[in-house]
Order: sequence, then structure tokens, then C-alpha cells
Amino acid sequence: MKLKTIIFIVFLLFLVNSIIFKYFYYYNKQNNCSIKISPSFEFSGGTIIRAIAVLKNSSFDDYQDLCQNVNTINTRIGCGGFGGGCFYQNSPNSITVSASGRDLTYAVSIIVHETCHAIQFSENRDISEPECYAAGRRILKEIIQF
Amino acid sequence: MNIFQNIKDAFFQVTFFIMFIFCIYSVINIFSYYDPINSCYIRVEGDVVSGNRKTVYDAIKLIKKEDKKTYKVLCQNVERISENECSTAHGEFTEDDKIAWEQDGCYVRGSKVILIKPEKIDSESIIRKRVETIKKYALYSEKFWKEN
Ligand SMILES: [Zn+2]
Repeated sequence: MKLKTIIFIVFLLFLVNSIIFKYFYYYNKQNNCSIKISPSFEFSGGTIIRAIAVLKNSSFDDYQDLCQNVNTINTRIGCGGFGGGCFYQNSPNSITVSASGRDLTYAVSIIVHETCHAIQFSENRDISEPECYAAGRRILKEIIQF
Repeated sequence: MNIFQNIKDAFFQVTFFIMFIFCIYSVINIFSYYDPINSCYIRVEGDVVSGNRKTVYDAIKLIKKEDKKTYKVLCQNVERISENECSTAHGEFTEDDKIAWEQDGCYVRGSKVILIKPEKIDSESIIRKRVETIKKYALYSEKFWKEN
């Protein structure tokens, strides 16, 4: 009976742990990176976490920018509309990314775009679009290989 | 037998039931290509509107049949094949973006994901084309992970 209890608890912990790290929380101790993914009806948390991993593996500078400037990614539809992104100056460490399940590359470009705004804010610069659109385009050209 | 014990036993039964369902689900999994003997598991994301998941499965099966070596590369380096355009457009749509959009597929660097252009038609020639596309980008993924 005692063994059964232990198995039960271990199984439960494992399940909860894997769900959290698959959909709701990105954590990398080595690079000191921790980002909460706040859920929504889009259920795109898994895509966001995979998109962060793509950044880490393919463009480490962008990954570090993200880790240093953003601590929360909201997955809901923001001012950018469906499939868009958003940055609100009243919560400068959060970005909003709307991405449906299959849009991995799209999610990567929106994360980089919104992180660019977070950097502009942290450097006391004006929030301007051309720089961030260029960043989004650059990362897509880097990750898409044909 | 206290209440806690009862709840725990019930939980075990439910858990095993869920695991049993999950096993069946895996066998007839409609979302993935699964070949347990070669420990090959590839998630296939079809485009419901303009794509066809079946021809992706057919292409993978054909690779397995005809090119064991590349099949192994595929299984080890690709986790997901997604019917999607290779879009490099962000904001405006340039001439370069048009070229990317027209590609048969692409590899997403830093991942184990291949994008393949959605195609609804189910024909021998489409499957052939998908075989070549999948093989090409599986090798790209292998190359990326060898170098990084
Ligand atoms: Zn913007």
C-alpha cells in the first residue's frame, strides 16, 4: 500500500510538471530565462514554447533579448488582432502574441517583433514600427530554409 | 478502509482507464505517423481547408519502403510535418516573400519541423513530389543538428 501511494504521488507530480512546462511556463536555468505563458482559448501555449526553443537554437541573440526583456507572454488576441501581436507600455515586460496551433514560424516573428518594442521601451526610445517589422522579417528569413 | 483509501483506489482505476484509452488512441492516432518498431513518431498537421494529410502519410510510407537510410534520418530529425506555406512576409509582402510562398516546402531552422505546401489533390505525382520535399528537408534538419 505504501508503495502504491508513492507511485501515485510521483505520477501526479510528473503529470502536473510536464503539463506546466509544455504549455504554461518556459524555463531554462542555464540561460537564466523564465517566461510565463498566460493561457487563453487559443490554446497556443505549446506553440509559443516551441517558438521560444526555435529562437534559442537558431538565433541566440534574439533569445537573450527576449529572456532579458520579457517575463510574460499573453496568448490572447490583443490590439494586433487574430494572428497578430501587441505591446502595452503600461506593462512593458509583457507581450501579447496571438498564434493558432500550426503557426510556429509566425509565432517566432511576432515574439521578435514585440520584444523589439519592449527593448525600445526599456531604452527610453519612442515605440516605432519600422524597426520592429524589420526585426520580424529578419528572423523569418533566418529560420526558413529552402 | 477510510475515505482517502477509496478515493485513491478510484483514482487508480480512472488513471489506468485513461492510460488504456490513450494506448488505443495512439494506435489509431489520426494526427501522427507512428511506427513503433523503428521508434518513429512524426506529428502530421494537415491543412483542413486546402491540404491533405493522407498524402503526407503516403509519402512517409513510401520513403520507408524505398529509402531506409533517409527514413532513419527522417525519424531521428523530424518531429513534425506541417502543411503550411513557407511565409517570410511580416508586414509588407515583397518579391522575396512571393518566392518563399511558392516553395514546395522548407525547414524551420532550430526545430525539427518541416513545412510542406498544402495540396488537396491525392495523386501519384503529388505523393512523389512530397517524398522528395520531405527527404530534402529531413536532410536539412539532420545537417542543422549535426552542426549545432
Ligand atoms: Zn509593432
